[in-house]
Formats: sequence, C-alpha cells, structure tokens
Amino acid sequence: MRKVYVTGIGVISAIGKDVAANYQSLIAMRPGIQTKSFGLPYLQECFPLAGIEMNNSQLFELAEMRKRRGYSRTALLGIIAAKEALSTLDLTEENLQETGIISGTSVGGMDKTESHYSLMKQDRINSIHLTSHDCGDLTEKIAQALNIYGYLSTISTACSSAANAIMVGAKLIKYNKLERLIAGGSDSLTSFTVNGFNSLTILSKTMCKPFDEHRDGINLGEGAAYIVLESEESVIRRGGKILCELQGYGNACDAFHQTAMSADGAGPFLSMQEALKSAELAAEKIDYINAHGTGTSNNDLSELIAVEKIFKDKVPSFSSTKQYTGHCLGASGGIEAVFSILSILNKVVFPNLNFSTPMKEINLSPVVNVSFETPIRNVLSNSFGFGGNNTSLIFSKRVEN
Amino acid sequence: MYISGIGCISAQKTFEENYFFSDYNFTSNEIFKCLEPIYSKYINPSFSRRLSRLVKFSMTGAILALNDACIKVPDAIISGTGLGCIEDTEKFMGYVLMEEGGLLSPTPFIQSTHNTVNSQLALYLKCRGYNITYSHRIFSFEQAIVDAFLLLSDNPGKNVLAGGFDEITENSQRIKNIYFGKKTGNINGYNVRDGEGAAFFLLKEEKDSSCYAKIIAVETIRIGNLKVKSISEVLENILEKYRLDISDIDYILTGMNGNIVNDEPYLDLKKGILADIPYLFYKHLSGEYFTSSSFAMWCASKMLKTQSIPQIMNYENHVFSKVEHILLLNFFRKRDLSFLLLEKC
Repeated sequence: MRKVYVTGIGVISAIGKDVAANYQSLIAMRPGIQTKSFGLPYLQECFPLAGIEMNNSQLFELAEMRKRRGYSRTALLGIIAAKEALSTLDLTEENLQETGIISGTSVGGMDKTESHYSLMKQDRINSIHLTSHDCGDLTEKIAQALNIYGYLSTISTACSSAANAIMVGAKLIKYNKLERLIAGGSDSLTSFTVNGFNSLTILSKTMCKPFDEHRDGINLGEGAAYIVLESEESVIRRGGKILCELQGYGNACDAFHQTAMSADGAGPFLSMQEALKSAELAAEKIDYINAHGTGTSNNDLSELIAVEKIFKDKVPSFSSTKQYTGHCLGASGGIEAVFSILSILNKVVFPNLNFSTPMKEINLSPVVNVSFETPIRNVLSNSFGFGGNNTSLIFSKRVEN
Repeated sequence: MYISGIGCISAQKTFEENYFFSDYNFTSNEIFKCLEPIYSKYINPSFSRRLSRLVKFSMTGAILALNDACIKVPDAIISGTGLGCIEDTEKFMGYVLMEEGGLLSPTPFIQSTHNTVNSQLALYLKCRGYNITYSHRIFSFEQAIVDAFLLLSDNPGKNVLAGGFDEITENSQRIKNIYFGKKTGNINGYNVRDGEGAAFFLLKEEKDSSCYAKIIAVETIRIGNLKVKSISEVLENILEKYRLDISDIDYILTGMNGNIVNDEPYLDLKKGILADIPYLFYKHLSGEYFTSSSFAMWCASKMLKTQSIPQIMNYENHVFSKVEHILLLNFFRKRDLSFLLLEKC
C-alpha cells in the first residue's frame, strides 16, 4: 500500500486561465461572477454566471491546437488544464504513454450537442458534432492531445465527479495498478444546466453567499482542473518534485433525496469520517476545509452540521471558493483540489467572499479575509453531488524524512 | 472476488428464474429493446412511479442480483453506463427548445445525471456506502469491476453490487451508429442490432456454495501504446501476470457483432494464438451497446455454474466437455480492449 503524491497541477476557470492567474485572483479577492448570458442559447433571463471570457477559437489557441471540428468546450477546457498539469514534469514519450487519465464530468459534450440538437432531430446534422456528446469523449480528447494511454477512465456522479476521479486515481496508485496518472475534470456552461438548475429554483439572482443566513442559491460556472498523482518510486526514478501528498479520501451516499441533502448531513459526515480514517488523521489535525458551500439553503446548513459533528468545538478555518469560480458542477472537485494544494504550498487560507451573517441555526463563520497562516499541514476538500454523492479528499504537506 | 448473485434485464427472458436460452427472441427492427418485467414485482410502485425505463429496468436487474445473493443492502454500489439517462436528457432538452427557457419541469433534468440509477438504488435500499458511476464507452462496466477490487482492498470483508446498463432511443441509436458504424451485422446467420439492457452482480471476497464464478482478472486497455507490439502480446502478458497460459482458457466469449471491420481483431486472433480455443458470441441475443459485456458476464457466470454452454452462443461447432476458465473479450474500433477472466468456483 503506497503513498500517493501530487506532482503537478493545472486549472482554468472564470478567475484565471492557469494556476498563477487563479492564485492571483484568489488573494486579490477578485470574484469571477458576472450577470450575462455568455452566448448561451435558450435563456429567458440573465443569471450571474462564472463564465470564462474566451470563445472556443481562443481556447484552441490557448491549448496550442489547430482548430478543428468535434471538440466540445468541455474538452478544450480539459485539454488546457491537463496540459498545464503535465507541463512542469518533463516526461519522456514512454512516460507519457504509460500515464493514465481519469476525468470527471457531468455535462460532457452537451455544449455542442445542445447547439446542434434541433438540426439533429431533422437529420440535418453532420455526425462529427455528435461524437463529443458522451462523458468519455473528454478523457479521449485529452489522451489524444497529450499522447497518454496508460489507463483511460471517466466518472460521472454530478457535482462530485472530479473529486471521485481524484479518489479513484489515488487508489489506482496506492494499489500498484499505475505509477502515474492525471485526475480531475471539466464542465462548460450550457443552456441545459442553467435551465436545469433554474427549474429547481436554486439559482441566485445575485452573487452567491455561501454559509450566510441570507444565502439564496447557486451561481453556475465553468472550468477544468487536473492534478498529477504519482507513486514515490516513479517520482524518484525521474528526479521529479513532490508538491504534496493525497493522504486520504472518502465517499458515501446520503441516500435521502435525489437533489436535497439530509437535514443532519449524514452523507457528508460519513465521507469526511471516511477520509480522516483513510488518512489516519485525527480531526484536529485539519487546518483548513475548502467546503462545498454552494450557497443553497439546504447544502450549506447540512454541510456545517456535519462539520460540527466531526470537529466538535475545534472546527478549523473553512471557506467556500464558489463566489470566485461559481459552481462548476463536475469540475468543481478538481478546481477545489488545486485550490487546496495552493493553500498548502503558499500557507494561505482563501476567504469566503460575500459573507456577513452567520446562519441562525449554527454559529459558525467562515474565514472572510485572505489569511496567511502557518502551518497549513492538512486540507480537507468537500464535493457533494446530486443523488447524495458525497466525497471528501485530504491533501497534506509532505513531511520530509 | 466471487460472483455471489446475478440479475439481468435484456432482450431475452433473463429475468425468469432458471432461464438459460432454451428459447430466444430476435427482432427485425433496427433497435433491439429489452423485455421488461412487471416492475411492481420488484420495486414498490409508489417509488418507481416517475422513474424512466432505464432506471426501472436497471434497478430491477440490481434487485434480482441482491435477491439471488440473499442480501438486502449491499455495502457499496458501483456501475458503468456508456450513455447514461438518454431519455430524460432528451426530454429536458425538448422542454428547453420548446419553451426557449423559462421555468421548466425539473423531473427529467434531475433524472438526466448519469448516476441516477445508483442514487435511486441507494435511496430505495437505504445504502449509504461507496457509490460511483463510470461512463467511458466499452470500458464502463469493466471499470466498475476494477473499482470493486480496489474497494475490497480498502475495505476487506465488504460486498459490492456492481453493474452495467444502457438504454436506447431513436436519437441515441443515431449517435451509436457513428461510434459502431452504420450497421452492426450478421454472424452465423443471426442479425446483431443496437440494443439495451442491465446486468448486476453481487461481489464478495469469500466463496460460498452458491457462488457462480471467481473473477480472476479485469483490464481495460488502449492498444496503441509504444510498448505493446500486438494484441496477442497484450493477451499473453495479462495471462502471465495471473500465472495462466492461453491453453488454460476453455472458451472465449467474444463481443463480435458481425461488422467486418469491428470483428477483424477477433478473427486475426483466431488465425493466431487463439486458434485452438473455441469462440462463443452473445451480441445477437443482447444487442450491441457500450455495457453489453455485463450481459456477457451474466452468461459466463451461468455457464460456469451450470457447466453448460447454450448452443445458440456457439460460434463454431464445438463439442462441450468442461468449462473452467472463460475469457470475455470485447474490442472497440480495433484499439480498445476490455478483458474479463472468470474461473469456475
């Protein structure tokens, strides 16, 4: 049973096109939410969304790829983030080909499908546009762009997809199935999901307020993030650099309702408990929680109730970063994993923007300013999805021997 | 890891107890829909009322497997699906286009996420355990099995409900024609059509007298790797890893679908290292879909337990003597291979 190390990170979101830009926005307290349509069709009103201000042509350029058909926006974002994650590693062609990839996505290529759907129904569509529809397409396009073939897998569990991809990636390394892989996810903004969340009446008409008494819903966003997971032997063999350790993970099902969390936060409690057990860490060793914190009445309360049950009177610093990036659905677990790793590397806790009043049911307040604290040894990152899918990851500062 | 319970909903009467292809269905339609049982026999009707076909027939497959294994609540639920909840996705897409936004009915949106089957199962069974849904084309079901092995490494002594499912609609058939080519084909006089179905398995670490088979190995491979010279080499390397030889395999249960291009790797192997191993085939009975290998594993489980091979699945005129090892091979576009090796208990 081996340790699992993080050796590369890559991210693109509404607050930046790479890790450095995202970090700058985080510490400058610059959110990425704007009330505009971002070119989405079939919307009767504008919502605050965290869209990326680049069209697909510009994404091809950023990905350093020739523009061609059959590439969804989800795939382009994924390629950009995956390329960044691998860019610092200097891998040989052989290294690349034995590297695996696991992605999480909920939207898949829906951005392409929905824009061509009405044509498709009339049989007037060129088939190339449909081949990007399924979830696996994201992983395939990244594998093709980076020439990686060691293992190709895709997970789709709504908002916990990328976090689950990272968890399964860790297990594949831990149990000697692979030496190195990239894990994370991507989701682009689509009319399908904006309309979908609107039909549930959980979109906020203003900037979201996670954990605030007056929170009233989600801001959707888009983005992608990948991290490189590697065994110690592999890093040593190629003389690589370790960023931190993925020390623990946990997944559980709330089993309460398809879209709502149980009032007592049973699912999150179980996933956090599992993660601590798998990391062999006592709760008080956690220095920061990057919460799921979507800004819905239901999620935020249940999450904090579960946090309080786990941490009792020693609740660590916590925040949601979704006012920066929006809720990027399947990709959120990957983006927040990168933010958790940045927290460790830079000894910083990122703030929960737009917070003023704690919830009346539970007197816990998130961190509201950028906080350079020492030490940040262990960070817990939560991602909870529809269907009650709850995942918690623990990243840890590597302890030098 | 042992298969302790099985359940399958397909184009054949696989939900009937003791059914093993004494009779069978074929279709002259373009689409091979599955035979649906009376759901109220398996799922409380007030629960299943608003669920889609896919969710209902997949849940039924799962419940059949649990009943077969005499388990009420599994410790974990892991599934694979190639295209997920197509019908609900299309329904919601239709609302979006028709109303051009505005406040729409949320039910099909809620049920369009790929993990709907798994979460409805968790809700129905009150299962709070590990719950993951894979969606990577022909690897989807096999990767659920890989994860079952990983889960048992982390949690020895637990059991896992693992399954594969896909549904077909007119539109999804069009999408699949692009992946699989415009036609599937014809093998030994039988047509293979685009199909759908669900098969679930209760997996656990300890053997008992009711077990069907042992899963020795599961791999999902992209051929095109520098190190890999040929498919034969891939097969020999995997078998060597499990201390087996080609000659230990009694049957190959192939994913041949009658399309010349698709079936090329199987026929190449037949001329080479698999010359002496009899082939079986199943897609004329199940139809072609991304998770049809789950149907194959249902068949292979029964073959190993009953020590019999249904004649309708024989590709060659092979006279049966024994079956101890069955190798399930499924190729996709000549470069993706899913590999599942089962052993008699």
